[in-house]
Amino acid sequence: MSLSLISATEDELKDLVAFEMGGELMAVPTRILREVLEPPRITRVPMAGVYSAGLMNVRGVVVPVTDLRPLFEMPDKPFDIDTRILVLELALGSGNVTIGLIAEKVHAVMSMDPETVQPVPSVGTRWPAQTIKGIGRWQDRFVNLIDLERVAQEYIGAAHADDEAA
Amino acid sequence: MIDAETQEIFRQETEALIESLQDALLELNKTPDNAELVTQVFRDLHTLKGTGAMFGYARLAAFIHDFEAAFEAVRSGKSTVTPELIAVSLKAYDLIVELLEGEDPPEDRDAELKAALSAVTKGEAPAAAQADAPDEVASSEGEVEGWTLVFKLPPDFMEIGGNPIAMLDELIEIGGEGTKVEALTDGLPALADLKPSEMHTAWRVTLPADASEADIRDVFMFHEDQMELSLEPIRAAPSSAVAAPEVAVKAEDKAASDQKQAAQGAKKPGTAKVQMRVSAERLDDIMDRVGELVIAEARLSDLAAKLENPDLMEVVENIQRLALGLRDTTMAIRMTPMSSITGRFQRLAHDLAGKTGKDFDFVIEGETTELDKTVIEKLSDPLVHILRNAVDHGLEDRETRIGAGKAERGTVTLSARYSGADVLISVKDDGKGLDPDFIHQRAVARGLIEENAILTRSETFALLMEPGFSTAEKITDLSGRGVGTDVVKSTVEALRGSVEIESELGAGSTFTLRLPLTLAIIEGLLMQVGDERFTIPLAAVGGIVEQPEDLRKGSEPTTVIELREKLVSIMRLREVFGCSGPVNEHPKVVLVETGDTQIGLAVDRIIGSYQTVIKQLSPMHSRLNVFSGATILGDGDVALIIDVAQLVKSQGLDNLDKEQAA
Repeated sequence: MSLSLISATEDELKDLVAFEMGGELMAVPTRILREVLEPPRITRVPMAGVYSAGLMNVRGVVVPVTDLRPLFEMPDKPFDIDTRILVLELALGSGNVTIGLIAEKVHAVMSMDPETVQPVPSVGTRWPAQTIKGIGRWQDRFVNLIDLERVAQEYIGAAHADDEAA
Repeated sequence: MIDAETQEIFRQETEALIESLQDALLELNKTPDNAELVTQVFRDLHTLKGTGAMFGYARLAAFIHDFEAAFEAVRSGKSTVTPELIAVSLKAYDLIVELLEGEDPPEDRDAELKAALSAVTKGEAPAAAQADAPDEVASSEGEVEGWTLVFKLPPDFMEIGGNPIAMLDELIEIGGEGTKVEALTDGLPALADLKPSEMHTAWRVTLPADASEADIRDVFMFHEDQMELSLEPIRAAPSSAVAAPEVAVKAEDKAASDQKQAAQGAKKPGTAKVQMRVSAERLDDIMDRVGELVIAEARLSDLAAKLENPDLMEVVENIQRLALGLRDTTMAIRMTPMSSITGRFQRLAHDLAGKTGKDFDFVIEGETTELDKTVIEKLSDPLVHILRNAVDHGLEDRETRIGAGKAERGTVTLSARYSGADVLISVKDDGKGLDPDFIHQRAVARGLIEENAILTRSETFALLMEPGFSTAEKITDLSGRGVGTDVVKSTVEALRGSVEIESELGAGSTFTLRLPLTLAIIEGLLMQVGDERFTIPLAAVGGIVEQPEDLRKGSEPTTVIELREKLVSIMRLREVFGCSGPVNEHPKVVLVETGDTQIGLAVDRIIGSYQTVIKQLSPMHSRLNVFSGATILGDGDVALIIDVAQLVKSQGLDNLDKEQAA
């Protein structure tokens, strides 16, 4: 499979952190990962969209926590002993933004062989278009590489305006 | 040659000077006989010239040299302040600003303005070089054949950034080919004691007669305090006897020359008050840290309250007091009065009157109202736009005003005042006002609303700020500069404020910018709703009452009850925010003021008032404008800060209340 068909660079595929969400294996580049936290107390933000889990205090800084399970139509699962928050720093158009991402379980730092990474099939996927950069294989499972910058810009930030009127 | 840092120092120094210069010029227009102002203008120009020359702005210095000469003529009584002089001076001022900003306007403008300046001062303003020099020479007899200058700079001169070579170069430039420079090395210590960074050399410079004393002294204008300097004219033999006493006076010491300058009022402005310039980032840094301190302090007092140790409590109270004082001082540093930007509006009003030919009085009220500096700076552009619109589109011309039975001169008022947790800044004109029907038609024509849409007055006026709406019948020089009223709206909303428009057809319009006192720290009231906690600015709270029985029954998000014999709209925060958790036995109603309306917020419990450090919401939540930010509580949890005005708006209660009032 040639790399030109997927939007991930070879470098990005070398250092990934794999985590579980809704029974699926997901991955984001370690480049954007700042730390992994045990879930602190999270303050709900009323009237915010479904992707907003609330706000948390990371050493004096208020960081929004996002829950991407609704986006991928995954069932909700209460926090348990394996739940972690990935603190990620995203470079968005408006500057760098720090967010927390709910992960049901964090596996490991891994790398994917670019040869095995494939683009998302255009039909038959239930997930919103272009939220996944590519699908690779790791330990006999499919790993979905999330395009977080795009997700943040198109879904997380945009979700609130509609809910406000309710 | 000039590095960025030097450039920045120069910019900061000149900024204050040109502001002061413009203010003085405008003030002088009103009181032409005020000699103090003339001196002020002269002083500002002189310092600008010196600073400019020092930083290598040769063209600027040369131009100001002639500008200064015009005011020298006024100061010496050879000319008077006329409206023409002010008009030309303001244009000259503009050129200075352009030159300072590093633009490169056409060279002939310099000459043009120089000629105009000299014309309005009745040709009494030749190049200052000659204007200055005769004063000095006239007092003594005998031909001056040249100057002998001896100077010694302070030892730390180079450490503080001085450059003696540049000074010598400057002197050679003044004196031309006839200049002789001789180093005096008597003061040099023995080689073993010599520190290369210290300055021990003195110089004797001989300059030809055509160098002016003022120019020579100008070279040292920023260092005179610390250095030794003597400047003696070399006179032809017959007059040497007469010249001698004068030489003695000049050589005496710097005190004499200081006195002379004080009398001239030409140098060292503002030595009375010591000021420091600090970069905004550093202030933000301090503010952040004070914020952290306040959070830590809240945590400490939480802990101390649990431990019930009197000694600890005493220390905690002490720290509390100190943190509070530190917070107030830090905040005060950031607060800037409106007067810091009103100068440019005065100027704008002056220009607008000239361009439109409409005579009007420009009144500024509440100049002492203070706002955060960053907010004030951002307000400048929207206000310029509103002001321009008020004069261009609002005010009628003289004939129309007389025909309508109004005062001949229009009035435009810019006012600023506090209102609860907000600051209101309004621009009011007594012009023709806004025509709701016309706006409605235009909005329909532009496809902004449906033809049969029914809008309230304020909704109709709000259409003015929609992108793509412009009522300017024709594009004038003043409007159509690419800044629409929609920009006003977006700028103000970015500052979490709102714009309100009120207008009476035929009587005038008022544009009001309502801005929150967006300070990094506010006094907040913390309240509990179900399991969750929210903060509102204490300044917005009008009172707290027990919830009446009948309010506890319903569960609609909003309702109206009678409270203290008044109907009050109530918002049940539990329902509005969808909170869960146990209901308190003694729930409360928090009465809050927003604009002209009073709203009650039904909550479960009041926790207390706290120092609240506002943390901006990330871009992910910033579109959710019912919360102005978040804060970290004493126990480390995050609580949201409610923006009362936006919350009321989101529930449509602002219109509800107005309908009731009507």
